[in-house]
Amino acid sequence: MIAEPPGAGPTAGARPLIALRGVSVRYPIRKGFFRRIVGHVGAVEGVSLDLTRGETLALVGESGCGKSTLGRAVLHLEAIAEGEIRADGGSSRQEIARRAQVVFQDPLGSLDPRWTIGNLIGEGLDVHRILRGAERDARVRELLAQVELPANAFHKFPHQLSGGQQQRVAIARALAIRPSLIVLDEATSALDVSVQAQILNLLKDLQTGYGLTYLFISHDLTVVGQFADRVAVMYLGRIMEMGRTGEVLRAPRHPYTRALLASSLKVDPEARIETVPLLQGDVPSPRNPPAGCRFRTRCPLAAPDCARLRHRMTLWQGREAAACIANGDAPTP
Amino acid sequence: MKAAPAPAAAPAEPPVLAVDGLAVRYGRTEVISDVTLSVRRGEALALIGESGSGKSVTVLAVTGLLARGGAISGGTVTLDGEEIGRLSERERRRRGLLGRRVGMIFQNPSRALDPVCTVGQQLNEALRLTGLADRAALRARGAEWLRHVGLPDPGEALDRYPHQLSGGQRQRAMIAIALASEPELLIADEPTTALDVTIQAQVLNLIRGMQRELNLALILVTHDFGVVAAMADRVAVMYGGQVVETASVGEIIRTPRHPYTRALLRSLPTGAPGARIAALAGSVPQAGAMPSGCHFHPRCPLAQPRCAAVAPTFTMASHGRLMRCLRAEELADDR
Repeated sequence: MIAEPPGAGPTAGARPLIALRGVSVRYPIRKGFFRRIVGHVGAVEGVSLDLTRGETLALVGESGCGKSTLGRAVLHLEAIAEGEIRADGGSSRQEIARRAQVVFQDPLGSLDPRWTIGNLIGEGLDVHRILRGAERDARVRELLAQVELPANAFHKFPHQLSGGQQQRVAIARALAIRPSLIVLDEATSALDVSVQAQILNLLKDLQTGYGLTYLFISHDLTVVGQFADRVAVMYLGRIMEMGRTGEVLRAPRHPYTRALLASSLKVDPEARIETVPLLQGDVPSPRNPPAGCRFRTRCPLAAPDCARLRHRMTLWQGREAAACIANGDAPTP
Repeated sequence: MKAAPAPAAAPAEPPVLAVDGLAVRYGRTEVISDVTLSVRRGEALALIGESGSGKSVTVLAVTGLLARGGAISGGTVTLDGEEIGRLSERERRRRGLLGRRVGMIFQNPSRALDPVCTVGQQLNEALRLTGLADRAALRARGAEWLRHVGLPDPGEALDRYPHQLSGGQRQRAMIAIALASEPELLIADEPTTALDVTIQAQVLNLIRGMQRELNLALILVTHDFGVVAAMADRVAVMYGGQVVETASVGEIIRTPRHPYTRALLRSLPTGAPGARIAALAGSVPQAGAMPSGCHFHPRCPLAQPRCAAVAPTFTMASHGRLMRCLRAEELADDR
């Protein structure tokens, strides 16, 4: 088994809430009339990380990098091909379901349009037989107040609320069974900036109030910089760099993190598009990833040796970065 | 690429597009009221606003693509000095307003491109508008455009269907099609919202390069201040179906004057770890329930009782900023 990563969390040494060790998720590729399995796509490859109680860990990367798949794997919504996910207190399906909840990008897509807000928020309480009758309704009203929704929303339907209010319902729904972990899968990406700011502030308050742990999946590095304690940068199923958000975003170590940061547009009239260094090409298909370092086909610093580089995490100033020839790592350890 | 011309043309030159006091109704509901903006040759104007601010309806009205039931109910749209706001679709086609003189790039290239036609066939449609008819010439010119927008193997790409291209490549193909008819005005409606940041930078760089090279007037519709800062020469901020402030990109970002522009900029995440964001309370009002007086007054930190009664006009304040606010004169200081 892989050794515990040193200095992984803000309180290293404390028992992590959830620990991933060498986790891989693979989807079968099927072909022909009988839909025979002819190969596998590695959506997530050999990911090890710890989620410490009360922290926010951000997963960032371009589409197809496996960040959502990893989030689903943590929720036990995805079968794991290799490795293990240990939750503090057990790793059964039900244990995780009670402990971890999820909020998706599109609130309307995850709220049944025929259910009232009261029933949507109370569903978890019913399913897990936590509270019934008047007690349940009282708890639902309490949750409405916690996410700063008016009490009269109880009898409304999702379409009668604005996008920001719908996302508040999705958050209340996730909070209902008092989880320790909430996976926020692009939870604020579809919202307008003024509403996004409201929801981010609400999430921060709830985290402080309940000691919640967040796995914050996002593609927006500015939001991540503000919201997350630690960040893991993913590319084609692998973690390329992981560490404290401020440090990683201020002084990125891996060429991919640097490229991703450079491509993000800044709200600065001096930062014209002509000055943005461009990364060439598209993300390669995960069906046929490049051998060696997966970033080498787009990397401005690529060298012939990169094709022989074995993916491994190296420790550098308290943060983990994928081995890189340009950083002086040897192709084979 | 040729040397970039000056961002703004000489002020004496009339704008390519001028929209004045434009109002659009869907049935009885007025979705935009009193939109005023203009864009000159070689200039990039960003139209920024939250969803429901009316920015997309504005460009649909300009291009004559309002959905059934939508109609211009006031104001004028002038392209090169001709009033085009109230022309029939037939007349628009005759004057080359659909596709030829005004090019459009949309957010979702897979919906804007025809899935059953190859990229080459769709390019030919645009190229024929310029009078080109010979098959070999069409093919050569089409391949040239695809090379110009940076598609690999342009000759081969002509025979590809949209689904055979990646997201970024489809966006490039759509840009080639929009430019192939040699328009004077290019309208890009959230052109990179669906793309990853590395591809977004590539596509925006391409649009800017093309705009400079062909000296186009560009209207860029977006909700992202990062895109505005990277691309725009001038910015029009929209709220509740109106333009509330217009200025150069530097002025809007460094010294915003309208309370909405200020609040919007303050609600952006700064990237400072752990800091709380100064969130603007409430949400954009629905078109059917627009507040009286100033549309922004229920959310405005500077609102006074008169703001609910009197509708502000879009005028130049004494400090030189075009804005829509009853307290404009008190907002001369920088933040």
